[in-house]
Amino acid sequence: MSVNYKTLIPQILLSACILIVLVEYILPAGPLTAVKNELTLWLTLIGSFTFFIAGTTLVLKYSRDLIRTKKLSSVHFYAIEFLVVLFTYISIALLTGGPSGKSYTYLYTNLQGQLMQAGWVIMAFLEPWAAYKAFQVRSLEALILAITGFTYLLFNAPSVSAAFPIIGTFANWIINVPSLAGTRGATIALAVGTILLALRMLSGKERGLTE
Amino acid sequence: MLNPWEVKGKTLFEKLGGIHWFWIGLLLAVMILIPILHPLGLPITTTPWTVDAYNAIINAPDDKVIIWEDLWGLGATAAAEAAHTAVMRILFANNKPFIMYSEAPDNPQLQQYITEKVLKTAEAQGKVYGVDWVQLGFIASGEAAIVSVAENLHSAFKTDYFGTPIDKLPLMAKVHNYNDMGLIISSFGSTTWIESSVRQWYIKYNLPIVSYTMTGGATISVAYYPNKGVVGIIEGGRGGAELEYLGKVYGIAQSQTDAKTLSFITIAAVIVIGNISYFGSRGRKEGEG
Amino acid sequence: MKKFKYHLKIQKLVINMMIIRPGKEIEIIILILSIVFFLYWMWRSAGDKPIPALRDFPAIDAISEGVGRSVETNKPVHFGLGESSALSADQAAGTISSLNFLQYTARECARQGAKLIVRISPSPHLYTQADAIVTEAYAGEGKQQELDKLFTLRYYGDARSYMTRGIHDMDELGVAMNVTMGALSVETIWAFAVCRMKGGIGVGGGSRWGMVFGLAMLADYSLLGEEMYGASAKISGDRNSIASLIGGDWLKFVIIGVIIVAGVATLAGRYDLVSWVFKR
Repeated sequence: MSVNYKTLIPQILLSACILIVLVEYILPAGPLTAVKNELTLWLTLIGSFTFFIAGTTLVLKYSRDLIRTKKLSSVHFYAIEFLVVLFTYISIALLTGGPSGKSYTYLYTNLQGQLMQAGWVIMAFLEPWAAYKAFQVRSLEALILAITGFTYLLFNAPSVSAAFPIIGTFANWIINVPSLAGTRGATIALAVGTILLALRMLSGKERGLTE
Repeated sequence: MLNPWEVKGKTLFEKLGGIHWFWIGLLLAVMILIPILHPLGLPITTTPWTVDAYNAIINAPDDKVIIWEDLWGLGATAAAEAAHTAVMRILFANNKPFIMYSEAPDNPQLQQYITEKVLKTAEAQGKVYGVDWVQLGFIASGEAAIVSVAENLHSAFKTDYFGTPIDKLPLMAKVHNYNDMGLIISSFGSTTWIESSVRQWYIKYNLPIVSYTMTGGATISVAYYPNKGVVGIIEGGRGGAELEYLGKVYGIAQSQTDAKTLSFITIAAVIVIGNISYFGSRGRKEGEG
Repeated sequence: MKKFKYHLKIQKLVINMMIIRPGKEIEIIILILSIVFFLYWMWRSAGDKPIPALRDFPAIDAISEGVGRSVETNKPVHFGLGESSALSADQAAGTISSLNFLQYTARECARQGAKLIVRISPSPHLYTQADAIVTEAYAGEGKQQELDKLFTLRYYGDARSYMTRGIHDMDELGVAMNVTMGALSVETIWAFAVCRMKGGIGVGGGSRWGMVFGLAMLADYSLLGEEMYGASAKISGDRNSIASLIGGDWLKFVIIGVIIVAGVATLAGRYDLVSWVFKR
């Protein structure tokens, strides 16, 4: 009988880890707690390692784009930009005291940080136009959304709720009654879905993860 | 799309709905610039959850350390700066030792930027790194990282963000696991991370949490407030302004709240205009039909 | 009242006999119930016993319709994996559903000869997943030669780039249909707003319920919360997934029952009868 080790071994590891965490959750604190804590630490290490895998994936992807695209286009530009910036940051970090070093921090904060913020700011000027075009009250549900959304928007304009306390009262009611009920219902539904996912992973019925 | 002077539509209602994005963006820019150039000093109110957050911070147990888990990204500096600065200044002013760690890869740079600013303020005078606060840096894996930090902080971090072994930092000698932690400040630039914090910090380790979320995040954090894990909520820039007022650590938040007020009113107004156009145009089309 | 105190004593005795973590009785009861329901429905599924069919989801038919429209209008189908999707923590379930939908959509596009653009989430780990799924889908239809990965698989970087480039591509290339599934954030607004402006069909599903208002307002066909998991199970045709969903529904009925009983007891002034459920 042939066994597909590529899926079997990850599945065994997955099931074992879930079982340990599940049983540890049920039992009082004991030896299994130390095992679970060690597994969690390993998970943190693996999580850090996935950054390396992500970086490798992107380098391969952009390298392939560079090689396979014959005609000069924006694809080349983006690929070269990515590779240059990546290796520049890596070089600076390795040569000048790591990511917490002054040079790296200066470059990252003043280049990357400013560019990222500029991205947000540019969007901010287009969002009111998007709201103006898209948020039209076409149905009863949209009307309810408009009233509640408006109230919360004005509540978050700090001086408006100072000038009109009724807005603060109504906003607090919206947050503490209907929104809270919906939040709790959605949280319960999400929790049930997550439990099911974990049980499918434990029993090997969740193919999407290991195949 | 390219001609900002072009206003589409035949009737007044249709024209109201055909304003080019350039003019709306310009109006918003003006509304934001006015209070930044000349603060208007518009009044603000405090919300009960921010008052509770402030009280939770200043009344945190003196024999334990405050843990600040931070997920804000560097790109959100403009949104996070006010409240981050206010929280740090309040912690220093009330002599509350705290340990910061990051769960977003670009958060350590944000923390460094804020720290450098705060160290120039009066509240930070006499504070010593390693004694009054520690910055641990980034740890991967999200919710699983909370477990690592809570169960054994010294295993989760061997060095601080600057490469100093944590055994050499006096504050770290006082904290080994969740038993040594008095309060969690969970700050995140989204709305839903609070569920992870409550699942781990509160449900597992029974630690109270101050939720410091982005604007709009209070609607989710409030599900756990005031006695299901979250003892207070700081909501974005508005929360920062309220903290500045409560803690008397005045900073940039005042001009930001003025700008926020005017910009939110502008957005509300353009939505109303859009709907007036929609209903007016619809009424005309139905009439013609 | 005497009967109730007697029941409380029995409950204490049972719990003390069980080796379980103190203070977590109700959570463990729910966990055990979920395991029991899950095992029951897995047994029914494995034993080829009949399991209830899931209801029809108009969104699934809309995907086929949208792909046909793409062929007629020569505009591409845009598929967004969700800007917050990642195979970790509570986004994992939504992300896996999103990948199922990608497989279905890619297959339809390959079969009907429509152009497909896949917006890959800022999480770069999903690039290899998307690559494998799309390649397999086209190979399954014998159309591997027609797959242009450079055109189809688009990785834009962080959330801001994902949005700006995504809008740019939709504006420049046109949109016959936009399908966005998974752990969504502001994508529920911009993707469907642009799709609507360009005259495309919007089909969306989100597991991050905080953003479902965008789907409800702007998408033509939406799958809210658990509907996405149900539709994902339906298109995968996996009996086990469908069976587990039904087990989950049973658990939800139990939780609803507990909430109703607690609500009635509280209104009647007898919260003490149900306080043991909610104590920590």
